[in-house]
Amino acid sequence: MAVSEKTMRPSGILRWLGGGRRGLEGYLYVIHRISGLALLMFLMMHVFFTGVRLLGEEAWSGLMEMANNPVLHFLEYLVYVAFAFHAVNGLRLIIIELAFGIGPPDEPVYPYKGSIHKQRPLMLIAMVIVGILIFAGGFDLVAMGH
Amino acid sequence: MTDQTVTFRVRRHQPGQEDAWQEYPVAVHPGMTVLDGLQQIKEQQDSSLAWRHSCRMGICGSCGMVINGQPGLACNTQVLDISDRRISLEPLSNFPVARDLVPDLEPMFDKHRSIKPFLIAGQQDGDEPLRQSPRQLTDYLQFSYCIKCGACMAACPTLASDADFLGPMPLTAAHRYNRDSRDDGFDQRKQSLGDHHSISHCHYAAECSKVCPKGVDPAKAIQYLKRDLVLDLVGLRRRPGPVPQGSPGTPRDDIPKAPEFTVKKP
Amino acid sequence: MRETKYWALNLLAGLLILVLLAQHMAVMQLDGWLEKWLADWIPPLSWPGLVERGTNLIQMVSYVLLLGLGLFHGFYGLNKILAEFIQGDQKRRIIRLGCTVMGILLFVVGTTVTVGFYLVNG
Ligand code: SF4
Ligand code: FES
Repeated sequence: MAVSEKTMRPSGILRWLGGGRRGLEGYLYVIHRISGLALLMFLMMHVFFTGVRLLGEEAWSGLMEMANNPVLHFLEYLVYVAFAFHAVNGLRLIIIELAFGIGPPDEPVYPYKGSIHKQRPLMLIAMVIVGILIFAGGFDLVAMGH
Repeated sequence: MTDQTVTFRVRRHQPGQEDAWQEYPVAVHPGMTVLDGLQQIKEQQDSSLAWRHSCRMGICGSCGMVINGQPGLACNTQVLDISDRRISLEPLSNFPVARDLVPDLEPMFDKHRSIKPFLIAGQQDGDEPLRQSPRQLTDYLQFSYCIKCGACMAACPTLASDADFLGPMPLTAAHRYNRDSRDDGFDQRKQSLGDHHSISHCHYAAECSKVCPKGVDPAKAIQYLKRDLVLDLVGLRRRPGPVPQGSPGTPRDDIPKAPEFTVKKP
Repeated sequence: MRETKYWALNLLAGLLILVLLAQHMAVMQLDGWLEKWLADWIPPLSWPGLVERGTNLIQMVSYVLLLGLGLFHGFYGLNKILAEFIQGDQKRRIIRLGCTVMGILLFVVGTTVTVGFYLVNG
C-alpha cells in the first residue's frame, strides 16, 4: 500500500527539526541519523585510503605525510565524535527498542508520565558518557597533539 | 474577572490557493479553550473559517490541530495555559489539508485498516465466554484509549520524511490487538508490520508520546511491538493467553435473575 | 517479514560493531592516552604499527569482520533513510540494489587489501 501515491503529503525533512519544539529524544533521533550518514561517508573513503598500504611502505608514508595537517586531524576528530555519539546512543536505542527501560504498560493517569520519563535517566547517562568520550578525544587531540 | 485579548493566528488554506495567515483578536477568559476561541471567531468575526470538532471534551478525536507548533486537541487546550498574547493554529502536519484547519485523515485510516485493528478469534471452545485476568487487561488497556486524533502522526519525524510509514497510531493499534489475550491475529498482522515503512523506521524520537492527549504512549507500544517481533523471529514469542480457566465461582443468591429474552430464539 | 529479519540483524550488527570499533577507535584516536599507559607502544599509523596489526591473524580477522558488519549496518541505514525520501516502489528497489552493490564492492576491496597485506607482510 503506497499511500504517498494517493494523498499523503509529508511535510519534509525540515520537520525533523520541529521548529525548536522537539523533545530531547526527538533531537537525538535527528543527530543519530546524521552522525550515522557521516560515519558511512567516512567508512567509504577510509576503505580506499587505507588501501594504499598494499602499495608498500613508501606510498603509505607519503600519504601519512600528506594527511599530517591540522585540518585533517580535526576532521578525523569529528569522525571520532560522530562515532562516540552514534555508538553510545545506539546502545541506548537497542536497549529501548527491545522495550527495556521504558516501563510496563500502565493505566494513564493525568498528568501523564510515560515511557519518556522512564527512560530519561538512561538517556542522560548515555549523554554524559558521550560527553566524557568527546572530551577525552579532544584532550588527546589538543593537549597531547595526536 | 476581565477578559484578555489574545491574537489567534490561523493558517488558512483554500484548495488551489497559497496558504495565508490570518489574525483574529479574541477576548479570552480563564478556562476558555482554543476550541471556544475558534467558535467565537466563527460567530462574531469570520463565518468562513473551517475546522473539525464534535464532542468538545477530548473524546471524539476530531479537533486535532497544531497549536503553537505542537500537535494537540483544540478542545483540550486552554488558551491562557499556553499564551496570553498570541497563539498560532495550523492544520495537522503530515496530512493533506482539505481546508483551513481541516486535515484529510483518510491516509491514517487506510493504514489503520491495513493492520487489521480488530480481534481475530482463534480456536475457542464453543460458547465459552473469553475470560481475561486483570494482568492481561493491563497489558493492552493503555493502548486502547487511543481516540485516533492524529496528533501523534503529525508529530512523528519519520512520517515527515516517509508518507508511507505506518505511523504511531496504526502501530499502536496493532500492538493493542496483538497483546489482547482473546486475539489470535499476530501471524496475520506481522506480514504488514514486518514490511518496509514499518517499525524499522522508528528510533524512539518519542514525539508521539509527548503530544498524545490521552496518555496512550504510542512510542512505548511500538517498542513492545518490536520486542514481540524479534521474539517471534527467534521463536520465543508467547501468545498473551492462555485465557485463565477456572471455576466461575458461586454466584451470590441475592442477585436477581436476568429477565427472559423478549425475542425467543428460534 | 523479511524486513524484520534485516532490521534485527542490523541491531545485532550494531552491537558487534560497538565492541570491535571501540577497540579500533581507542587505538587510533586515544593513542595519546595509550602511549602514556603502555610501555611498548608503537604509533598506530607508523609503518611498523601497521605491520604489527596487519600481520596479526586475530586483528586481521576482526578488521574484515568489522568491515563487513560496518558496511551492512551503514548501507542498511542509508537505504532506510533514502527510501523515506524517495517515493515510489520502483525507485526504492533501485536504491536498495544500489546500496547492496556498493556494500559488496567496498567489502571486496577492503577484504582484498586486508588479506593481501596480511599475506604480503606476514
Ligand atoms: S495515540 Fe494518542 S495522539 Fe495518536 S491518534 Fe491516538 S490519541 Fe491521538
Ligand atoms: S472536539 Fe472531540 S476531541 Fe476535541
